[in-house]
Amino acid sequence: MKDCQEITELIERSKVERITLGDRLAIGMHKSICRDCRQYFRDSDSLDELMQSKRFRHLSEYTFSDDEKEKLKILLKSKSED
Amino acid sequence: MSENIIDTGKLVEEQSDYLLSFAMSKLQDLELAKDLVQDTFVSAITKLDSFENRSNIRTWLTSILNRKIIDHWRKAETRYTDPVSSFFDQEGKARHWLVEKKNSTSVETVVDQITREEATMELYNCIEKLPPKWRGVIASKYLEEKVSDDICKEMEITPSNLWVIIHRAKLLLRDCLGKAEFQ
Repeated sequence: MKDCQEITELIERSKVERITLGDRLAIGMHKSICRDCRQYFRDSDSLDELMQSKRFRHLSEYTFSDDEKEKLKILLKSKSED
Repeated sequence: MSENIIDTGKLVEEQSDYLLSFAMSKLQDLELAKDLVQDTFVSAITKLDSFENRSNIRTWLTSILNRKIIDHWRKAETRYTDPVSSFFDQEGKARHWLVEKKNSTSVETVVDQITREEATMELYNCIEKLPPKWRGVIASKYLEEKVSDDICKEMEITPSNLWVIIHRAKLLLRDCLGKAEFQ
């Protein structure tokens, strides 16, 4: 009998690679009796969905260039010395 | 002043891109967003006394930036529209705007959208707090959309390391999101 740690790891494993029929059944059985693991299953999907969203991927694309950062630093340094 | 010396270089390095992403989650104009982030840093530097390490520096900067974004919206609103007159026609009769707009987006959808937007931003913040290697795995998988084999090669981990890291990272992210204070 697998514990919650093993089951939730197995849930992630199943998203990365093919798992055996036995493991798939173990997840199903465990989920039917364990509320926390059902919750983990849903949360894992929600996190995937958020992180795969276009919006999320775009967020990381907005950056200052090195040049802009240097200018900002100079500006702030002068302000902090006022 | 002397007690409030702050490493402005470090501040820019650690916070500027996050603040820019935050601004862009609410605005469409990149140049405007950059200007508002710059204004935020300047305001922060000039009123460091009010910070006093009461909260996390990022939370504090984000709240200043958020106010600047709201101020910008207010100014834009008064400049371009007269909110009351748009409800009436030229004879002063109320337009049947409820009828005209019956196909517009529901409030519920908008609220969902805003909540989602905030959650996305918070998640971005939480990912930055992950241990570097985990953060690298999450970034390669979700942001760069690399396949598992490439992630393993790049990060020098085995396939079983990969899902163990994803599992632990997700537990931390879930915990971090649960503790988030939404603006």
